[in-house]
Amino acid sequence: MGCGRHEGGAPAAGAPAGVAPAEPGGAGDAGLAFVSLKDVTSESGLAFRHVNGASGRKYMPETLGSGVCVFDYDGDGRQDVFFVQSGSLPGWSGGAPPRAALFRNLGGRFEEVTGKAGLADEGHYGMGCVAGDVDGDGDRDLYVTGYGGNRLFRNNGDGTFTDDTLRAGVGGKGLWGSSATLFDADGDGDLDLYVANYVAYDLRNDLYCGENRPGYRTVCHPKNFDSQPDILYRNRGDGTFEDGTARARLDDRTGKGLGVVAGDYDDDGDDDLYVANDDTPNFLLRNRGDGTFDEVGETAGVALSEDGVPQAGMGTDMADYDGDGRLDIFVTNLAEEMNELYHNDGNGLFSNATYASGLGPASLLTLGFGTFFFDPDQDGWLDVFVGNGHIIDNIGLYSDTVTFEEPALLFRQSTPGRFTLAPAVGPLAGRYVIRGAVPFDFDDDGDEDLLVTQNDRPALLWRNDGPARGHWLTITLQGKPPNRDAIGARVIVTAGDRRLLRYARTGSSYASQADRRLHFGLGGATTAHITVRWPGRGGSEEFEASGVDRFLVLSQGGGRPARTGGRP
Amino acid sequence: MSRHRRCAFLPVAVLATGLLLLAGCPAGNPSGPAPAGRTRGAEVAGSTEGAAEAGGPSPGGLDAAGGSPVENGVRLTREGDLEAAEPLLLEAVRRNPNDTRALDALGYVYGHTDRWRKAEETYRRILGLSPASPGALYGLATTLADVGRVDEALVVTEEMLAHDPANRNARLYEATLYGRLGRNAEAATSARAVIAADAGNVEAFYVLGSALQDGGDFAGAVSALETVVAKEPLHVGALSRLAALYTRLGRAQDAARAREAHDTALARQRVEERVRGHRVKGVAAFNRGDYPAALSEFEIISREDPKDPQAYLMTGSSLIALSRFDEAGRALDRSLALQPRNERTLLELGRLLALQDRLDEAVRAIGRSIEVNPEFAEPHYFLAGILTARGDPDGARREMQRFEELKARSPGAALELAGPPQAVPR
Repeated sequence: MGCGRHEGGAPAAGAPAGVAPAEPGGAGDAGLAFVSLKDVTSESGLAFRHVNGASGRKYMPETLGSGVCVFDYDGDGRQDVFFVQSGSLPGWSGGAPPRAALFRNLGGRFEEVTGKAGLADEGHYGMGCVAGDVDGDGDRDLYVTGYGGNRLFRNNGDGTFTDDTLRAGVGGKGLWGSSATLFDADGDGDLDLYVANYVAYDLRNDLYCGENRPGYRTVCHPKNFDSQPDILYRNRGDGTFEDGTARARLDDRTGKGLGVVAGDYDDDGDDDLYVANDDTPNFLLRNRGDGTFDEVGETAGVALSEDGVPQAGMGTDMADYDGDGRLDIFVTNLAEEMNELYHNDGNGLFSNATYASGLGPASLLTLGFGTFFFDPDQDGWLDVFVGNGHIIDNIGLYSDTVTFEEPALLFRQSTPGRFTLAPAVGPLAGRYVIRGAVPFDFDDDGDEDLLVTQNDRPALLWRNDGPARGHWLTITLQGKPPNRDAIGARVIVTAGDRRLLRYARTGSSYASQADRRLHFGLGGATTAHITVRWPGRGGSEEFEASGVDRFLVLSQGGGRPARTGGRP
Repeated sequence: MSRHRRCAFLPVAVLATGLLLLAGCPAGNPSGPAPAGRTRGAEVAGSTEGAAEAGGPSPGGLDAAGGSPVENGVRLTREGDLEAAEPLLLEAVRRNPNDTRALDALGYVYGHTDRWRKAEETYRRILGLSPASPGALYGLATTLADVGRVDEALVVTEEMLAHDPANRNARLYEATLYGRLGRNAEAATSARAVIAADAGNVEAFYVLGSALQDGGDFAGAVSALETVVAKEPLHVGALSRLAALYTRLGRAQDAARAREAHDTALARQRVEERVRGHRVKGVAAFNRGDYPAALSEFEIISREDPKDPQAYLMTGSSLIALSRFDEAGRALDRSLALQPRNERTLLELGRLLALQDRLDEAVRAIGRSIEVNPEFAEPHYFLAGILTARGDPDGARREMQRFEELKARSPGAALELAGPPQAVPR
């Protein structure tokens, strides 16, 4: 990859109070490994292997699973993990139907509780998941997308779930659901559901793609298939839904959706959506404030590559990477395409920062899926993780350079707006077929660890062993019913002269959901002032952190009223 | 997967069942526009012509009536038939390991068929023989850039310019690389240098416009990109950038027009979007035996994209099914004219000839299919049928054995042929 190989890096010393967070990189450590990761999968107890049901017939679905959701299913304050399972396809001879898996967090170690919870999801070719309280009863329900339809598992509040798909009306109409997100589309306080759908692919067609030589058959390109429309399910307020796609003005276009993330990119107080589409222009769905949307991707400059062509969008994230107070967008793409970084310039417009950021060329040989912004070294500057893995398992027959198993890429924001590739040490020296990827402080030590899934391989947990280059805060929001997780809230932490922005949301990355707690690296700052703009018409409140390097729970109504821009 | 690799639907018609299957491109191998890296900068970059212009070895002076492996290999490379070029070039290099013309063309073939490692090795081999070879330096630079090693690509390009500061292709590529590194001011300077020497260089204006836009000089970018579009009205990248720039500058109507033009240009490029429905319907119609409907769909595709050899192939298959043999022959001939080494088309031609009782020609056509792709199972199946008809059971048995061997090595292969091959009806 042409990256440097360096070891070492001393932990950052504490800074005097009030000192601004350090510039990314710091003096004298250019090129050093900036965090140490360790594979702790086996000792953690997270033993899950995805099964793609492959049989040599190269069906498309077998290449794309699956995702992972981090959420507290039992309300004990610890974040648990649900792995989506795919399963059998025609011709597969793997034996018993593979099951999804729910793991309960015991405090850094996990035990599988799938059967007890009723979340085996057998017979469902799962793709992705999203978790949130759809019925406002105080616990988090689980929605699993899949090829041929989706399932909603309602949390019974006692550690078990019930398949409530039919009653809720969110089965997905037999389409190929990929990623999904729960968010309050219409500002009525409950969580609506957006499901990205992929292509009209029929297993019975059994199309042959690739060269006519033994072993050369490959999976077919999505261009061979029609796109499927995404669906916006509007919550009636009781955990049942109606198809609100047409009413939301989202029914006049289709894409080949694989990734979706919600965020208020125009800072007008409502949640917008970004959809990464494969081989068709990406969507930026601007919420008009009333639950109807305008698709503005091309106008905004986030639909296409810098040369005006659609790319193979897979995973996506929205975050303010440069600290200017606006959400930027990152999307992962195919090998021979660069992952794209779109910088939010304000006024609804973005500029393509892929080249300027350094995130582009390093991604040319890899096929990116799950991705996220996070701050593993806590220097106050967001870094980027990209989980890679090709979809053509015999790509080696077609290329001497692109490979099926690929390295994960970790980019450090080494100077404001500029990223450098972290050295390939530890787990980053390995090669994987990653799909879902999320940051997840599984051991509650205040830094963000990494959880990834692989296609037809085991999921992996990589613990962040530092060094930390600064202090941190992890904030859990408690909103008002029915949106107790305050999905859609905007949190700004002012630490030194930096303003760090995060949004409370559900699904993101690829077919996955991260730890909902909002992590902030503070750099050298030892005090923090927090402003929360609650979702809907919840208003804004200010909080002072009682210190740093701790977990905070901020409850709506527990702060001082604040005056902020945008909608109240 | 390289966008320069020709990929297409590969339908097959089966004597026994009449089943037409739809085969398509590998997932990473769309026959679409060139990768982002190559649209930004001279399209001629990397071609042997470009290499020649860049000062490298020139494949000119070919003997049209025959020619050596290197001459034919270079010619085929220039024509885009990389699959046919490669064995000739390899032969040329085998005969003369220091033949830099052959090596240069071979490097191009490798670089455009996703074998960048081999491309790099080949160009470096040339440079070992001829350290200042502009073609090899250029090819090496583009190869390095294609795999994301942009810094290294720039070093090689600078080396090229050190030898020949007036090399416009190299200067333009330097501009492109500066752009990819986010060094917009330098990109603009280099692009302007090219424009100063060649005021009609469209790509130089595109690179300039891109650099100015990325550097924040929106008015300057508009001017440069409008020049591009004036010369090339369907330039996808320029139109897309102009749409964004006009929007940013508050020129809503211009933005709308640019966006519409961009959509049109993209639609023209992405012909597969327009024909996909017809292709799928055509295959479905063929599979259910509605050959007139299938033919109608495939003919639409040919009208949309007269350069699609697969459409003619599928048309030929449909016409065979309708016993319109003369027309089928013409369709298959058109397909082969566009893609002479398509093993499926050759096989289909063999089938047609067999149906017309022209067995010697059928055997030759099927033989050519096997020659193109020795691991293609189906020709052996049909050859077995012909040999049976000719009263050669041993030959037929051998061919069936070969068919079974190849099929066994390819689980889930394209065709599940039902039963033993039928003797070809007279």
